Amino acid sequence: MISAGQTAVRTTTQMRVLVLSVVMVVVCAAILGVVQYRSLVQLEIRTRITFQDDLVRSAQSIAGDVEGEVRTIGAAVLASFHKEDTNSDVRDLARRFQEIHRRQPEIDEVFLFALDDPSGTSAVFSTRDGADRCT
Amino acid sequence: MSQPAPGSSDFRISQSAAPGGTRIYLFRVLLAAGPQDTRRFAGVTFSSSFVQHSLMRSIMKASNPAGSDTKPVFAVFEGGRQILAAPRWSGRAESRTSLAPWLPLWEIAGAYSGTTVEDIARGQFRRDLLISLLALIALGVAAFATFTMATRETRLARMKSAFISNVSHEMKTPLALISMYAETLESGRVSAPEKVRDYYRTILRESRKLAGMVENVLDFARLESGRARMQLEAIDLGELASEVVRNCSERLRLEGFHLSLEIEPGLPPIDGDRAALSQALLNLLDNAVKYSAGTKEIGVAVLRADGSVVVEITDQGIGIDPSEQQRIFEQFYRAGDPMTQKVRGAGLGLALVRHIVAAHRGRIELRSTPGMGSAFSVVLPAHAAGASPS
Repeated sequence: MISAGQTAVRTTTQMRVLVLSVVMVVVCAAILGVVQYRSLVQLEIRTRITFQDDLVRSAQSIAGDVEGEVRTIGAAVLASFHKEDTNSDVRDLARRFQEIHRRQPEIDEVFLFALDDPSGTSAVFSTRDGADRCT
Repeated sequence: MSQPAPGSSDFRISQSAAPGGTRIYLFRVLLAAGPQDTRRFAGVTFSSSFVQHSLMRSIMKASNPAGSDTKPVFAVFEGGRQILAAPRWSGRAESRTSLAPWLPLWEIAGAYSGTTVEDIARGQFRRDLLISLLALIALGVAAFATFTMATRETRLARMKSAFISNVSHEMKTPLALISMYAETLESGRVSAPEKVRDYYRTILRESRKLAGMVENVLDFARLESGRARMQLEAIDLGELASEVVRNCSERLRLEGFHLSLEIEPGLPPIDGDRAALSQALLNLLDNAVKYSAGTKEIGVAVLRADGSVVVEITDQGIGIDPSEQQRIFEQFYRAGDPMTQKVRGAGLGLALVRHIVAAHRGRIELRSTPGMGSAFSVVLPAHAAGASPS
């Protein structure tokens, strides 16, 4: 048989266990809260860096696109020139330059340079009328 | 014009400032003595409109990334001067990226349309913090609710334990009296007829008390479990109250109580269960008797009030502390007042009254001042004209 005293002891123990459980939950929640806050602060910093990096990457991509377009158009034109062409006749070169201008209107000017020319530096430029050689 | 930039590829890009705008050159080395040498080369320059068009197209493509809420916008600067910008460009750069070595004169500035990196990061931080806080609050509420429930259950268990002890004790006293008087009568030690009648009266009174107590416990169990069924009929509450008062007036008179009854004339009937309401009024009267202490004045009044009929039972007893006025209607609860603790009881009477009144769609009100007495009012809705009791 359980006496009133035993019941009182049992309920007191139950209350202690209850209070202890609640205190443990609150303490755990507080610890988790602090850890979570610190993680969120770190995440905020990382987010800032990520968005900044995205802008830089996008800017580099823009530059890469422009460079790619310039290289694609220009390379097709320049691939037709060889080292002997620097000594070619100006009239021949003028015809080739005009053909290039006709096919690729985005190209402003075409030129050839020979720094090892026996007479000094030799250069051929496309002009409005054809081509012009300078030495 | 700058020399072609050194590199491993045959093709090299360069940029120079010119009076008509920046010029972009593409060179191809035709003859070289070594990797760092360019003896012969061919080159082209591009029209400024083509370059600007190409830049704008790339900027527009980068400004509309798929699956992104935040839209980046870009502008191109040359020597600190803006030469191109996306339509939503606000003028405030979040980042500046030099395009060296390919296009060293240009810088691309980037930003987000309608917001800033700081706002994006801070907004995300606030949103996440709010979610975390809500989760923590939910956890706290759950812990608090669990604690409250567990405390309540523990208190209820304690009260049940006290109830069993009180009921046993309450039953033990009349049983002991019945047993003692019955044994005395059986042994034939008492022969005076007046004395014998007095002993029988005591046995009868104690038996009734015992039966009433058992009835209370059973009724309460029935009401609690929802098994009790009310037989509703149109009742004159004034008549019912005077019947209850009449039934116990003799007993109360013998115990030294002065009981007054006041009934307002022309009261409307109510829909109620006669037996249950009688028991409720009897319990309230018993309560007034138990806690009357020295001043043995009990008043019963039946009045009309706003479509209801009110039975008010007042005493001049020990009263109830305001902090306990709600809790005394809880099952097994007994007020902590030392005077209350002296009075025997199971803590069921008022809980039973509350259950009965609630079953009649009524309410019970209490006005009490410690040391000055209490007034319990049972407010029951009057029988609506044309309505039949269900």
